[in-house]
Amino acid sequence: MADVVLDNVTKVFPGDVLAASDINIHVADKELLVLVGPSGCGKSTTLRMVAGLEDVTRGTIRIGDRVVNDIPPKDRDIAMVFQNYALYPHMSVYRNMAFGLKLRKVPKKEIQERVNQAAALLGIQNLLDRKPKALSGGQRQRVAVGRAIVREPAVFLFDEPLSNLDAKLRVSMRAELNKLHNRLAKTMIYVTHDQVEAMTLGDRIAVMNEGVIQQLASPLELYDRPVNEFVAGFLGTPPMNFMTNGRIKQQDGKFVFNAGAARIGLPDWARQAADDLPGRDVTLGVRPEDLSLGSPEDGVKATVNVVEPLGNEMIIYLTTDYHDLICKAPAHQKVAVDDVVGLRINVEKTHLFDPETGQNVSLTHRGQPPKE
Amino acid sequence: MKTWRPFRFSIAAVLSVIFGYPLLWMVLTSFKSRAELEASAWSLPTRFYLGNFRDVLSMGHFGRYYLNSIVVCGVSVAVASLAAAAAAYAFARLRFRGKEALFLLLLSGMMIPVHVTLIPLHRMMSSLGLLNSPVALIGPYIAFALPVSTFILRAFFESLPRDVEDAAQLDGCSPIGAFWHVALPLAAPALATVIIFNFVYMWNEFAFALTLTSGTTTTLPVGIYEVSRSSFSTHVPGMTAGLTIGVIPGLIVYFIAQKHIVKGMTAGALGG
Repeated sequence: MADVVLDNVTKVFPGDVLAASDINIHVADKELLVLVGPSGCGKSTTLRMVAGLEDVTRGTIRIGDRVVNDIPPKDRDIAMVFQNYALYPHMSVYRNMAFGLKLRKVPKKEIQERVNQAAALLGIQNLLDRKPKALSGGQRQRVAVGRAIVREPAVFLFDEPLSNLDAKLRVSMRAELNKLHNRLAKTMIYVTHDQVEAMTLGDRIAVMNEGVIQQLASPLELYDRPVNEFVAGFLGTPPMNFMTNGRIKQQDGKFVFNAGAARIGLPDWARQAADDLPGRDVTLGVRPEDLSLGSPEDGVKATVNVVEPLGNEMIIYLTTDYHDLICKAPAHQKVAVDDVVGLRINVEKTHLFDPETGQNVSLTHRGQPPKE
Repeated sequence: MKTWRPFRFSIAAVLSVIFGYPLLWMVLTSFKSRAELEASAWSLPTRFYLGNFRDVLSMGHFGRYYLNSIVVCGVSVAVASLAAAAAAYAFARLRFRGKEALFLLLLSGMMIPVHVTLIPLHRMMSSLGLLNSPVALIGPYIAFALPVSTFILRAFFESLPRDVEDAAQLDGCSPIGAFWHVALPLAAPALATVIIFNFVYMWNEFAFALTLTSGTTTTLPVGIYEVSRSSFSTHVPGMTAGLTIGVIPGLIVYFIAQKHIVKGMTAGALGG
């Protein structure tokens, strides 16, 4: 049993730079938790505090039954895979993988067995005699993972391990890491700035910004029910559209979102949301896949600026009289630049945000999603 | 760029003649008899005459000077390089109060002229009873080598990827273990530079050796000076034979160490 608990963990660097503020996370045993956020959001610092590579300014970190704040990295029973692989360039692949075991005085025969086993698991048996400089990026990444596996630690930490790989290799390594997690069944904390990695790998995801956890939830929960504008805008490619400076008005007994010439009828939950923000501007959030194109008389009038055919779908950039929007359309949609179209919006999937706080005010009024 | 090539090669060729020819002349002359040198100073030797080397090695305490130089330089280079590496690593990686002030204090050692320390050191070594012993030279050699060596090595350690040492710590190393097992091997290029730099300085060092040692306890530069003042003053091939023997260790150290000064020592450690 090796859960990891971060209790009000704060990190302040010299010069009063707040890198992580009151982080509270409970990573369950065998869970893969992803820390995701833009550069400088504090996710790597948080991971390094768990590893023991950075001191904790305030709060406690517990791994299993032990508070590890004052325990050196080597005694925390963790292994880490670094963004830059951090292989020992003067050692062969075998020695790289065996180094940790050798320091722990594991018998030579057992070292050999464990290294060979990990190498077989990762398909790098034929590379054991090579030096890191003679390996490709993907091979180095496997060796880095292998070095972590042989130690058989209680917790694995991954610090953006796929960032330096090319796009194709990243996709295949991502799938392999997923398989590896299922196979090893160990607690893992994974840091990335790539939301696709986060969504595909994580059992749960903690979205961070400016040293603060914005939301900690399952991937679908984050996507469907973002608590604020930051989370809504961070997850999803292309990102969510935000129609700013709108007002909710009552027309013919229905609630309508008004921004410029756009009039968008909202579902019943908008009534309570509107009550929360009486007479104030609101921001309407709508994902690109919840927009569809129709005739100019039908929906919000918009002009097509750019069309990006991706093969399986099209990304269309449009402008209304008030906003720039992005729409995901079927691959063979007939549309050209400068066309004037009507945008239909799946209002059930829209969100209302308070522009002052960024909070999603529609969440509390639309009911809980069905239990997963 | 291509049009510059012949020009660059010409410069390199001229420089290599300027630097290489005296060395070549010294080696060639050491294989000539005195008569042959007087007959033709610039020609190639007609045969490899080894008599000059025999003369030098049988002369005075040449072998003893040689051994002294090897011991003093070997110990001084080893201790200075290792101590400088440890200090440089601490300055590069550890956070402690007054770090920069302490580093500046160490660097200020570079500004002390060697010659102003000769008399104080002579008096100190004399009162310690260390005059005319290898320690009399080893101590000052290390002290004078430390500032510049630490300076070079600190800059190198700071350029090394910290992740590799972090990985070593997670693998089970203490900070000292990470230094010994990972940082120090990776610093081989800088260490090689420091070793060559220090060895050349110490092997040729004259002032300390002349002041703090004498007779059979002195080192090669002073030994050659002593020999050249004696009957060898007119025996030019004999002197060049002595000098040829004298430069051999320096060349050996250079050839061993220079293979480590290769770019891309850390290639493969990091991605990208």
